[in-house]
Amino acid sequence: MYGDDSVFEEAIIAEYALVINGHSLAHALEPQLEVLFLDLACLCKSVICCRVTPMQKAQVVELVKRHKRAVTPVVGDGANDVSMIKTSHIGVGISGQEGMQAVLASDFSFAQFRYLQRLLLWFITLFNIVYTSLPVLAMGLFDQDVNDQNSLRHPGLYKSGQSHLLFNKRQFFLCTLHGISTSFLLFFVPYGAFSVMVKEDGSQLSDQQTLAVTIATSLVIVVSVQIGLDTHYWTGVNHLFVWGSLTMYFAVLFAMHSDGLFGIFPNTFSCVGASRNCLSETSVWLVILLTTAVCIVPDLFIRSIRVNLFPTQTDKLRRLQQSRKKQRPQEQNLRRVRRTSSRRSAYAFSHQQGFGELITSGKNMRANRISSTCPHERTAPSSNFIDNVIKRTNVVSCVSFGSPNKHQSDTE
Amino acid sequence: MKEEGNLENRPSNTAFTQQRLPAWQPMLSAGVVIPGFLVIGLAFIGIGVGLLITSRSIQVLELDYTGTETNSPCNKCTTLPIQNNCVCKLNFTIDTLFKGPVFFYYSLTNYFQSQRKYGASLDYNQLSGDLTYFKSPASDCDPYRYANGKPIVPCGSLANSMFNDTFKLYQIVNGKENLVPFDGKGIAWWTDYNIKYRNPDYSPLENAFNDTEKPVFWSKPAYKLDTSDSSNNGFVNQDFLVWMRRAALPNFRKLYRRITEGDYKDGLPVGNYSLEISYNYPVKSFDGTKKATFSNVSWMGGQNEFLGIAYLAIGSMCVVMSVVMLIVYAKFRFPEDD
Repeated sequence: MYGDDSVFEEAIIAEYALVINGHSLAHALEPQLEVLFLDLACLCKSVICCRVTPMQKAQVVELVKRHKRAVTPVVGDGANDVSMIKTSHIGVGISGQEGMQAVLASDFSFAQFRYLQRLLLWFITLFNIVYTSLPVLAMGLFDQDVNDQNSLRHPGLYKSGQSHLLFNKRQFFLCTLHGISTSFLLFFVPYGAFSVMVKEDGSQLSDQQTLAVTIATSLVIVVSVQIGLDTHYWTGVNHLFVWGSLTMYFAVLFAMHSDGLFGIFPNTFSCVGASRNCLSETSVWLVILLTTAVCIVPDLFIRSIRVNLFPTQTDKLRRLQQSRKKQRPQEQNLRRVRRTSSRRSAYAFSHQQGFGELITSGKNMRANRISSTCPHERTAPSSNFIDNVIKRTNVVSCVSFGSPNKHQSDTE
Repeated sequence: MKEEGNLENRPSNTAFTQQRLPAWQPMLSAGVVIPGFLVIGLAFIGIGVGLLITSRSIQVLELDYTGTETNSPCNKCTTLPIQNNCVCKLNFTIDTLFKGPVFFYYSLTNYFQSQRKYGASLDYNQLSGDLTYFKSPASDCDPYRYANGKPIVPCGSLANSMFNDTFKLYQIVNGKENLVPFDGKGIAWWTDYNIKYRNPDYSPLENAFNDTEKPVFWSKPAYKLDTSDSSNNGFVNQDFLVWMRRAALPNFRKLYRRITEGDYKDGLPVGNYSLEISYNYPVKSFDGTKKATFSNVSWMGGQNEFLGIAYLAIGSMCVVMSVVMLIVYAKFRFPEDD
C-alpha cells in the first residue's frame, strides 16, 4: 500500500536524535552524500540542525520534498526562515517577536505555537475541497462529523485521510459513475413521463420548454437532497445555504420567464411563461418527485447499509458522541495529547551564533515582560565562555517543532 | 514561552469562528431508516395506484389517416403531385359514451420539432409585433428569410411548416349528418396569446404586411389566418400559437379543438361518426404518420401509464429494501454502542 519512498516505511525502534551543525551539513548535502543523510535522518525521531544558514534550511526542506513522498510543513518566525517557508509545501509563519516577514511569506500564520496542533489536524480536510456552490461551501466550512475534542482524542481518525482512503482514484471513479447515472435518470424519467402529457385544461404540456424546466427543477432538488445527506452537522448557516439556494433557483427561474425581461429582450428570454405553466401542474410535480426518488433512494439504501453494517471509526464515534452528548462535561482547554511513536522525523534549525546572548539578556524583550523577571537573572555579555555555550544550547532546543512545549528552557 | 500578553491579537472566540455553532446532527440509524423506507414505499404505492386508476379511466380514440394503405379513404390524397384541398372522409363508431369535455388533437410521428436549427429558426422580435424586424428579419430564419426580394413575415422554418390540415366532425343520425361544434378558443397557453406573441399595432392589420411575403409553404398570409375573428388573426391565431410551441419528443400531439358546446357538452354519445379531413400536410417524405385523436382529461392530464407504473415500481422497491434491511438488522444486530 505504501511506496518505497513513503514516510510510513520507517519503523522507529529506538529513540535516536541527530544533531548536525552548518559546517557538517555543507558536506552532508553534497550530491553523493545527500541521500544517505536523508535516510539516516528519517530513521531518527528528531533531527536538530544548528548554526545553519538560511540557504541550508531551504536545501534540507527541498531534499525531503524531492526524495520522500510526503507533504512538508514548515514553521518559522523570522526573516531567515523565509526561504525555508517558500521551499516547503505548507509554510506557517508565526507573527510576533521577530516581525512579520515570515508571516508575509507563509500560507498560514498565527501568533502562538500551540495553535499548530489544530492546524495540523484541520488542514487535510480543507485541502480536498474544490467545490463552488454555496451549500457545498457551507458544508465544507461548518461540517463536523466528529467534534473537536474527540478529533484530538482519536487522532487515528485522520489515518484515512493520510492514506488517501477518502479521496483516491477509486472514489473519484465511483463519484463520476454516480454523476453519470444520476444525469441519465434525470433525463430519461421525465422523458418517459412526457410522452403524452397534457395540462388539466387539455392544452399542450409536452413541449420543449416544459421538459427543460422539469428536468432542471428535478436536478436542483436532487442535488440539494444529496448535499443534505452528506451533511453531518446542520448549523444555521447550512440550513440557510441549502434552502436559500433552492429558493434562489426558483426566484431566478421565474424571473427569467417573466414578462418584464421578455419585453426588453424577446430573443434572449423567449421562455416567457414556461415555468408558470409548467410548475402549476400536479403531473409535473409528480414527475419531479418520482425523479428525485429514483435518484436518491438507491444512494440512501447503500449509505445506511454501509453505516450500519460496516461502520468506520468515524461512524462509531459519531454514534457514541450522540448518545453521550448530554453527559459529557465541557472542556475548556485541550488536554495534552500523549505522543505515541511518531513516524515523522522533525527537523529543527538554529541561526548562526550571536543572537543567543542578546535574547537571553532580555534587552530585546517588551517592557511588561522585563518588569516581571528578576533583574539578577540578566547576564553580562562578557561572561564565561562555557556558561555561554550551555545557555545557548538551551535556547536552541526551544525552537524544535517536532514536540511543542516539550523542552523548556532553563532560563525561562 | 510566550505569555498571554496582548489580548487584542487573540483570534476571535465566537461560536461562529470557533466552530461551536448549535447544530442538528442526524444519524442514519436503523430506527430511522427502516420505518422511513416503509413509509416512502407505501406512499409511492398509493400514489401509483391512484395514478393508474385515473389513467385507466381516461378514454382515447386514435384514427390514423396518413393514407399509406391502399384501402384507406385518404390514400387518394397521398399521390403525387400534392393536390390542394384534397378532402377525405373517415367513418368510425363510438360504442360507449365518450365523456366530455372531449378534446380533439392531431398527432404527428417521426417529426422532430426539437431539432436545434429548425427550432431556433424564428424571429421573436417579429412575432412580438416589432415592425423594424418586418423589414429585416433575423438571420436565424435562413433560408426562409427573403422570398422574391421581399422579407418573409413570419420568417423561419418553424412558422413555415405550420400544420394546415383542417377537420370537420359529423355525427350520422338517421342518415343525416349533424355537425359537431368545435371550440377553438384558448387552446394555446394564455402567456403565449397575451404576452409572447403580439400583432403589430396597425389597423387594418393588412397594411403592416405591405412589402412583405407570406411564408413559402403557406396558402394564405398571416393576416388572413382567421378573417372572421380579429382577435384570432395574425400572429395571435390560436392554431399558429399551438404549432409554434415546439414539442419535446418526435411523436407528439397538439390540441386542435374542444368539443364543449350544444348537445355534445356531456361528451360524444354512442353512434356513427364521420370525420371530414382537408388533407394538405405532406408527411410521406419523412415516413411520418398523421392521426386524429379524441381524448378526455383528468387532474393528472392525459392518459399516462408510465407515471403510474413507475410509482408502483419505486414504491415496491422501497418496501422490499425496508424488509431487506429489517432482516439484515435482525440477523447481524447493528452495533448500537461501541
